[in-house]
Amino acid sequence: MTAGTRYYNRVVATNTIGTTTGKAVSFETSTNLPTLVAPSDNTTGIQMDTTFSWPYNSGGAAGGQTGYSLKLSGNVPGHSGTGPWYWTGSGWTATQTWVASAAQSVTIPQAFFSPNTSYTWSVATQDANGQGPYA
Amino acid sequence: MSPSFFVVGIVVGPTATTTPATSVLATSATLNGVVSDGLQSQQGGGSSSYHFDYGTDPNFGAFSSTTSSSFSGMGVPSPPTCPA
Repeated sequence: MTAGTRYYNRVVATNTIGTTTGKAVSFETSTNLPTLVAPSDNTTGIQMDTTFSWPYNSGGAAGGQTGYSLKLSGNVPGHSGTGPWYWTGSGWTATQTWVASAAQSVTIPQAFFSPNTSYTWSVATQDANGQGPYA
Repeated sequence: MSPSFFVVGIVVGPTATTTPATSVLATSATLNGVVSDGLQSQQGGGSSSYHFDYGTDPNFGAFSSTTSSSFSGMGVPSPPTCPA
């Protein structure tokens, strides 16, 4: 099943006489999309280390966040192109990466960003329901 | 003279009532229902079975089905089914 989706279901019973289909009911799965808090959209003039933060949204899953994947688009030092890049905990990589951590924020040193550059970022979280979508 | 009587067993079609899903999470939910086998089990008939259909189309033009399970009796709460 997919998070944040409405599903319809019905029970079907069969015996030797025939088959009876119950009336359909519906429900909507919850979503574990995190909310992107910082840096907020269109923030300019960041000159220091940058803290990315997001409150974990359980979507009903038990146990809490077990990991996150921070995705960044834009030019970063040591790499060509605009990505997307994934934070490994110690640098950027072009390969989608999940950091095993319950932390809902991460501060990345200024050295990992290029001057006068615009970035777009997103994060996805991992929990008992698996890896969620990028917010 | 002693009164006599004769019982006629009638097997009818099954009944199926869908009840609301529970434990709805991001990627799974528990599907529930109540089914009856139409007296089939009491008349020595064959086994009855149930399953759930589910999908995103309210008209069930396309849907998935859970694995079929056998049951017997009247007003049987279907063992909840949780599709992946």
